[in-house]
Amino acid sequence: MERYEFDDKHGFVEKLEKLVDSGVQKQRINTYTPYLVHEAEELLDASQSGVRAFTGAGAVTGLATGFAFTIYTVLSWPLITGGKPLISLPAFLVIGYELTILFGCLTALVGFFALTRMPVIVNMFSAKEEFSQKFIIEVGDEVRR
Amino acid sequence: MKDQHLSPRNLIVLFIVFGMVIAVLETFVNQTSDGTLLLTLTFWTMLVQGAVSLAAVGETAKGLWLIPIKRELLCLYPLLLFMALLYLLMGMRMDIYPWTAHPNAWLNARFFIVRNFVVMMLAFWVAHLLARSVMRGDPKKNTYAVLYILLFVTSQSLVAFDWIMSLEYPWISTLFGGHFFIQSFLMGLLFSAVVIFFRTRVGVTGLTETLRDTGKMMFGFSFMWGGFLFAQYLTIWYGNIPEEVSFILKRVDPAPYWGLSRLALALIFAIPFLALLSRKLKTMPAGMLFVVLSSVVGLFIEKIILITPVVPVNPVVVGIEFFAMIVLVTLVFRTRDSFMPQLVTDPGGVGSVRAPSG
Repeated sequence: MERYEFDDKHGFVEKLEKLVDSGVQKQRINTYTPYLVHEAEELLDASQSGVRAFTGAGAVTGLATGFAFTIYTVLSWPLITGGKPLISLPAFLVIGYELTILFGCLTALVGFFALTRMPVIVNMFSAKEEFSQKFIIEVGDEVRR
Repeated sequence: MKDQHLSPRNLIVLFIVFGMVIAVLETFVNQTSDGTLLLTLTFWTMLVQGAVSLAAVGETAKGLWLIPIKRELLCLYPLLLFMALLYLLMGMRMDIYPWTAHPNAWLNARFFIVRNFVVMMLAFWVAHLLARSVMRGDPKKNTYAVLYILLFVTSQSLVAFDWIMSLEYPWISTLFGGHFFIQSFLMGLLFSAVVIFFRTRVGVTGLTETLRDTGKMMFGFSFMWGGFLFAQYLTIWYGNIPEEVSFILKRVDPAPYWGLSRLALALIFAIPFLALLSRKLKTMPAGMLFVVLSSVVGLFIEKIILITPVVPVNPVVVGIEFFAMIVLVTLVFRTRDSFMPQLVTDPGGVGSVRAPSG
C-alpha cells in the first residue's frame, strides 16, 4: 500500500488529481482529511451521504412537533395572554425552530452512527492511527468497499 | 476581455460628473419626491461598504477562500468617497425628518450631516489604506481590517438609526443597526457571487471553491437576515404597544405593502434558503446569479417598504440614479488596474497568493 501525507489541502488535491489522471482505480484510493474537502469527493465520485436524509426527516419532524406541542398545550389549557389569539404562530415559531434544530442534530448523529456502523465496541480502547491535521492519501492493493 | 485604464485623476472627474448628474436630478427634476436620494444612498452605501467589509473580515479571519476575489472586492473602495460626497446632498432633504421641527442634542440637522459624513470619510480612508496594505502584503493590513470593520459597523448603524429609523421618530428598535450591517455584509457576498460569475465568463478558472464558500456564506447570512427581522418583529408583536406596532402595520398591512412585504421575505429569505440547500447550485455561477438577483431585488423592495410609507420616491429618478450607480460601479471595477496594485507573493502570509489573472 502506498501512502502520501500532506500538510496542506492544495498539495493533497494536486496529488489526488495526478493519481486519478494516471489511471489509478478510484476504488483503490482512500483519503483522510481533517475537514471536508469537496474536491476529493468530486475526484473520487463519492456518493452523497445518507446522513442528510436523517437530518432532513428529523428537522421536519422537529418543526411539526414544535407546532403540534404548542398548539396542543394552549388548547388543553386555554389562557389568553396579552390579548393574543390562543393559536399565535409568531410565538410558536420559536419552539418550532428550536425543535427543528434539536431533532435535526440528534437524527444526524444517529444517522451518522448507523451508516458508519459506529461505535465499534471491539478493540474500542486500543491505540489507533492518528492523522491529526494531515491530509492523507492511501492507495490500497485491493478495491475498497 | 482586456480591462480599461483610468487614472485616479480621471476617476475623480468621473465622480464629479456622476455626482453632478444626480445633484441636477435631485435639484431640478425631483423636487417633490424627497425619499429618492435616501433610497439611492442607502442601497448603494450598503453594497459598497459591504463588499469592502467582506474583504476586511476575510483578512482578519485568514479566509483562504476569499483570496481569488479579494482584489475585486477591495477595488470598490473609491466609491466610498463618492457615496460620502453624494451624502452631502442630503443637506437639502432634511425636511423629510420629523425631528427637524424640534431638534435635540443628537438629532439636529448639522450634527446629523457632520457625523455621518465624517464616519463615511473615515471608512473611505481606512478602506484605502486597507486595500493598499493587502495588495502589498504589508503587516499592518490586519490593523486596518479591524479598523475598517469597526467603522463599517458604525456607519451602517448610523444608516439604520439616523437615515431610516429617524424618519419615524420617536419609533425605536435597538436591533435596527445590527439588521442593517448584516444586510450590508450579505450584499458584499452577493457582489462576490456576481464577480465570480463574470470572472468565470471571461475564462478565469479555479473559482469553484470560492463560489461554493460564497454560497454557504450567502445561505448563512440570508438566514441571519431572517433571524434579525423576526427577532425585531416578535418583540414588537409581543409588546403590542400602539406607537411600536404602527411602524409594522404601516409596512405590512395596506396595499401595496401587504404584497411587497411578503414578496421581500420570499426573495431575501425563502428562495435563497431553498435554492442554496443544493450543493450543486453552489458550484454553478449562473444558478448563483439567480439567487443573487432574487436577494438584490428583495433588498431593494425592503428599502422601498422602509422609506416610502413616510416619504415618496420618484420611480423614474430612482431608475436613472440606479442606472448611473451601476455604470459607475462597472467603470470602477473595469478600471481597477489603474489604482489597485496586484497582490504580491509573500510565502507564509494569508492573502499573499497571486489571484488568477484574466
